[in-house]
Amino acid sequence: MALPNQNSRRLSATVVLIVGLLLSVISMTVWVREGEGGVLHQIHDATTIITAPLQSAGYSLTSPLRSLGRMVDNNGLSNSEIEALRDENERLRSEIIRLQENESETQLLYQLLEIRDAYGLESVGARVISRSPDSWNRTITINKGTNAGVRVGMPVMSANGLIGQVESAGPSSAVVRLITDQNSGVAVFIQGSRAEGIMYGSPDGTLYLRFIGLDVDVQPGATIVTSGAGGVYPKGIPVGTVQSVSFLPSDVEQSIVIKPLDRSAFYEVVLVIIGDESEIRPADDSTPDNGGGGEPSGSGGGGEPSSSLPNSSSSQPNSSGSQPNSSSSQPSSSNGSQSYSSRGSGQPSSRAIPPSNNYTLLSTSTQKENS
Amino acid sequence: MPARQFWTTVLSMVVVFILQVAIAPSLALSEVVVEISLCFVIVNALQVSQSAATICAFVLGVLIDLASGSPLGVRAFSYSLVAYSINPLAGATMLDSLLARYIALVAMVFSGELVIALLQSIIGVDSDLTHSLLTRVLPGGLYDSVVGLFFLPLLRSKNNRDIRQPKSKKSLKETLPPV
Repeated sequence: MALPNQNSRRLSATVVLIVGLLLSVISMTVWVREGEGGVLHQIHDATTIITAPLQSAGYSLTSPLRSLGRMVDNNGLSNSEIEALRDENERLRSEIIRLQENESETQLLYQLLEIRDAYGLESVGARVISRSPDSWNRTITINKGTNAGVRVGMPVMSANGLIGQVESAGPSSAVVRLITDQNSGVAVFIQGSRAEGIMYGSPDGTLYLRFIGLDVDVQPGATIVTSGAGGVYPKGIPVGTVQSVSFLPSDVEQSIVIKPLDRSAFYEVVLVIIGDESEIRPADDSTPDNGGGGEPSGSGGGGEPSSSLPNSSSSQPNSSGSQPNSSSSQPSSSNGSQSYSSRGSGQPSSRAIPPSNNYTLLSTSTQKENS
Repeated sequence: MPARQFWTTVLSMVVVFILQVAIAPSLALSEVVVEISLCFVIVNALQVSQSAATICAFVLGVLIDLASGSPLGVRAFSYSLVAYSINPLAGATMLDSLLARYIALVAMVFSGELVIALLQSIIGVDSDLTHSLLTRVLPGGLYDSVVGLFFLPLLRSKNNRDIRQPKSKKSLKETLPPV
């Protein structure tokens, strides 16, 4: 039989629990409803800025642990993949020996990792200092912020292609939501067929391409590049390759799984496309020479002229076969902004990235050279 | 809560928060990040009073929510519920053995992960609950359970601790019946 004292303690604990649960529910409700500019989001952003140095220090200290994690992750590789990686390893070793012969040349190669020269974009190179501290969000924290010109909504690339978009930015750090996050969406097209669709992330990091009709011939291995529709991402940046295609006769669209070009665990250096007035302008500020019209895009669109992304194979060792195709023949879609943060089903998203900073590339001569 | 226990708990929470924010991301296996904080909440709930355990769990949950990208309140809700639920079991005889306490920890870890998944699904952040159960809750719970092994030294039952720790003269005098 419980004593009166025990009963009173249990009662007080129950009251504490109820208050805590009520506060939690209220917080969640406000969080979902208030949007990106709300008080709770601002507190979250401030906390992210405060904890960024902590995350950076932890990330540096635990690099051996990450190597161990990669080793565990690679256990699922087939023998042929392991053989290929061994060959690649041998090649890289010889490459390292060559690079070590000349330190200055190494410095130059390091600078080449800052991809701006490869893509010809106004951009800022940044180091990844941390990843999301939970399993439910696929984000990385970079060591460049508003002091370096980084703003919310700017696209972020790795050496191989697009990886995400700046979600929040502090003075010296910024959080990037990856395209593999379930709340991310990117307007893309298949390089061979030019069919446009929307690519979504998923809880397990798999990328899915939607709104591709059954009449489009999609082959595994085809490269997926950004279409530029909506003006959030520049046109022509590779994002992945088609891994598998499946559909039923009763379906209205194909079920396409995309293999990302990079895995978030391996990001070390990224590039934030900041643009400037000479190269990038707001997406809804269409120019007369952009061609307009064209085939309708299912995702709204950015009305941009041809992309300025040059061939990246000259300086990016991993970009072979994935460099953006010429976009001169790609019709631009009509004006309008598109929110990539919510699913096609209209489901609300708590971490929706507002397309406030819509960027569209102006045409340059390099694009025509590539095409 | 005695002052010493209070400050020990606060210090532990700070350490766990740092571990979760700075170290746990690097311990991720196949994109599954271990919830060290959840393990701590459960272990802490078996050591302190029910009210204190619930408050600690709530505060830690809010902090982790702020540091991660999850909606504010998800972990606070889950952790509070877990801490409140497991605390009454602390004095139960069925949890006297270390194994029984570890099994309870594993069960509560999975419950906590499940509540997080359900909340994420309810508020619309996560669209596919089944997928989340398979790719987040199950591997996450298993991972947390393994990490929970490191908390075993803290999971000794109260009876065992009383036996191991010799009582002071003063406490002995208080417990002895007056002659």
